[in-house]
Amino acid sequence: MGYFSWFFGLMGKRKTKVNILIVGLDNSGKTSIIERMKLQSGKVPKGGMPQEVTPTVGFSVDEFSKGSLSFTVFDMSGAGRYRNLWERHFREAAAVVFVVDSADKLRLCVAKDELDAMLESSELLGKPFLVFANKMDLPTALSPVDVAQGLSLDEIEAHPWQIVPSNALDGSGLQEGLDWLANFLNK
Amino acid sequence: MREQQAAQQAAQQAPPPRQVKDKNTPAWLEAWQDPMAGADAFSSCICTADLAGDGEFRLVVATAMKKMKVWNGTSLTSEHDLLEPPVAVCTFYPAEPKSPKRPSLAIAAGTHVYIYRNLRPYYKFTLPALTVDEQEIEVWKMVRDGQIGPKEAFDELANIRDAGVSLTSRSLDLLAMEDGAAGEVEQLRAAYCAAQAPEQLQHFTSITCMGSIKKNMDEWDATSCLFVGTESAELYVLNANGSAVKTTTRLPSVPVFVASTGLLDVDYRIVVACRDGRVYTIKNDELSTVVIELETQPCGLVRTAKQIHVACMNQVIHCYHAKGKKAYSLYLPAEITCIESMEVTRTRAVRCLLVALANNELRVYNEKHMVSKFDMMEPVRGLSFGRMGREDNTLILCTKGGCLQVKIMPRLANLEAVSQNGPPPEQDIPLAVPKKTKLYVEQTQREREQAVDMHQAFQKDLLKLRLNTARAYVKVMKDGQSPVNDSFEGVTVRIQASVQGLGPLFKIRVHVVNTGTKPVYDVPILLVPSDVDMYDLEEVIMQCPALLPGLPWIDAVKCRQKDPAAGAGEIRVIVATKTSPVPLITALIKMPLSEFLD
Repeated sequence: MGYFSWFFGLMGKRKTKVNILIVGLDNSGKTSIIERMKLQSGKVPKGGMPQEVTPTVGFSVDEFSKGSLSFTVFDMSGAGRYRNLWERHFREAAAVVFVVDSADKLRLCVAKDELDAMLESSELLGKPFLVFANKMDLPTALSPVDVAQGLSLDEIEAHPWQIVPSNALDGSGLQEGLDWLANFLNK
Repeated sequence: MREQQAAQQAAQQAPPPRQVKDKNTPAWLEAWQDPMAGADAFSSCICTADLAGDGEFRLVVATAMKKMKVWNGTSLTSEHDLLEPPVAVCTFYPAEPKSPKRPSLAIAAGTHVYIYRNLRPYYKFTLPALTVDEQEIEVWKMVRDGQIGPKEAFDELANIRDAGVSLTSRSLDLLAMEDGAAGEVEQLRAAYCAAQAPEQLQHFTSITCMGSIKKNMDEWDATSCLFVGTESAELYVLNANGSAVKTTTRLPSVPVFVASTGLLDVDYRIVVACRDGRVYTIKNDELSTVVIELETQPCGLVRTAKQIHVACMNQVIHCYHAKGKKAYSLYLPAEITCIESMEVTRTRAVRCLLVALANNELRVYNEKHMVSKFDMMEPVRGLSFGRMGREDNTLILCTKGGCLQVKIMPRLANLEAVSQNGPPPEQDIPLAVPKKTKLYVEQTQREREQAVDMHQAFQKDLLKLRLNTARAYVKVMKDGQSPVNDSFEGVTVRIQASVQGLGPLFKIRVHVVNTGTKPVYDVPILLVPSDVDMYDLEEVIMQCPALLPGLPWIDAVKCRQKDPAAGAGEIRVIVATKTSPVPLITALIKMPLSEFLD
């Protein structure tokens, strides 16, 4: 796979660049998901997969490719005091990935509040929302249906959306979500 | 019927519109509620802390049913039995170099502070024993030696108690004994004395309130110390391990609410609301002279950096500056069940006050302005605001029925007080001023030209009126025609006359009191009908032998109307003396119309 992409790269087939905003509350697993996606797209980070992920401060930018798309991901910090930075990147983002900690029932309402604020923004109108119901490995995790209900996703009309159960630790569910996003963006 | 079904179907098909929030009224996010939590606790028995050192703040509730319940997020992780009903729960960071630091959990109950580490019982701190009164020791010594029986011991102890001595719980138990299922009170007392007398007599006090204060660094996990207030009106500050008393401060009354600011080793204040309705301040180990006197008993105390909020039983919250100067009062529509401070840190910190009321309301005040309000299903018994789980702005509510509710203040909520500058809006509403008529214009013209004359004429008439009134008053006083007379040779008499019966037979009751200072003797009381032929009186003159000051004289006279159909007349009652030319007092009775007996 890596050889092919290198080969296509030599042949000059340029990949389409797509900006993606990845948001969610603190400790929902945004950085872990990006690390895992980079790993899956063949980019092995130096020193392997990090064991301990430190909380992101402000935001960090990462790049990885998927098929004919090259993703530039803005990994936003979810801590309360950095959440007002999210809206600065709304304009340039082509899609939004919203990560939810399925085991944190207490803060599901906070996640809904933040999601509602984003859905009201005119700069994101019509852009696709991919929701990762993350941390599915935890025994106390809610099912994706419950998460969708908690976030009232069925009431969203102005945006295409998809919810995918995921686990950033072993990477399950991430490909499905990314496939949906890639399909949508390729149209 | 069919229309209803069609409407229901339509309602089911059409998705409800996504709710758009009103940015001006911050709505709390409903995070979680458990009606069956059994969390029956006051504010002092609720706390949140990072017990495991993993950044997840656990919720600890010590309930009135002697249970300590610990929640992690929404799941109940453990439940511990307590030996005594809890008074207060708080956490403190003991002095230890280990990292990450884990707080100790302290539960005050009875005379002990139970300290838990990693949710396991770790240490029990007992308050120092008080000195026992010598008379009481003597009584129990005599009981032990058989010199006196339980009955004498009871009387002796009751006497000591009535003399104002604080007794030990052993004596108080004896004094409080009543007849029970186990037998007569005499037998119970005897058995109790026999069982208790050989033991050593100890006097313990109990804890009324507890708190923690940072020792020398202002960080969230810096070493902190516990302080407890006791029923014996003392405040103990414990050392950093909670194993010994560091300083003791005597208070003028029993503390019920405590709050602290500052650092123990640098500069600190502990504010104490006491049972005598005063708020005292302890400033660096010494009782400060700043005393806040309240109108009623305090029912809540909150201390922020510069302000002291005291909730009182008369539905008022007073706010004072730290030096004891009053800033403002909040008047509320119902009794206050609990108050709590709410500090939301954003670009700048917003300090608010949470107030729970007995009419199920929960209000948020920023300074004097109410910024948020919502209704609960039942009255709130305890509330706590702080970090729970990973969320900073969490409100935990325990209601009367043991329901536990968690609400979160949204990040974008507007808690700023809307200040009302400038004139009130009512000022812009025009008044309904009537149109100027010709008469009005002429009148004002006249008033302007002849103001002095008009004023003088008015004053002259007013003086005349006053003079006439005074003259009439003097006349009434002089000839004894009024029901209350002027003092005549030091005798002041008051009369009340009433008519009983429906007619044509009546009974006239006369009630005469001498309200003066001198007695009068031989007082004839005359009954004079306005029309002599109208009424038949049993006697026309009642003889009162003496009217002594203060003592009422009551008599009744039968009276028959001769012709019941003749309408109603009047009877004058005259109280006279043999020496005075005018009657002492006169009363006029308006007789009622007779009702026919036939």
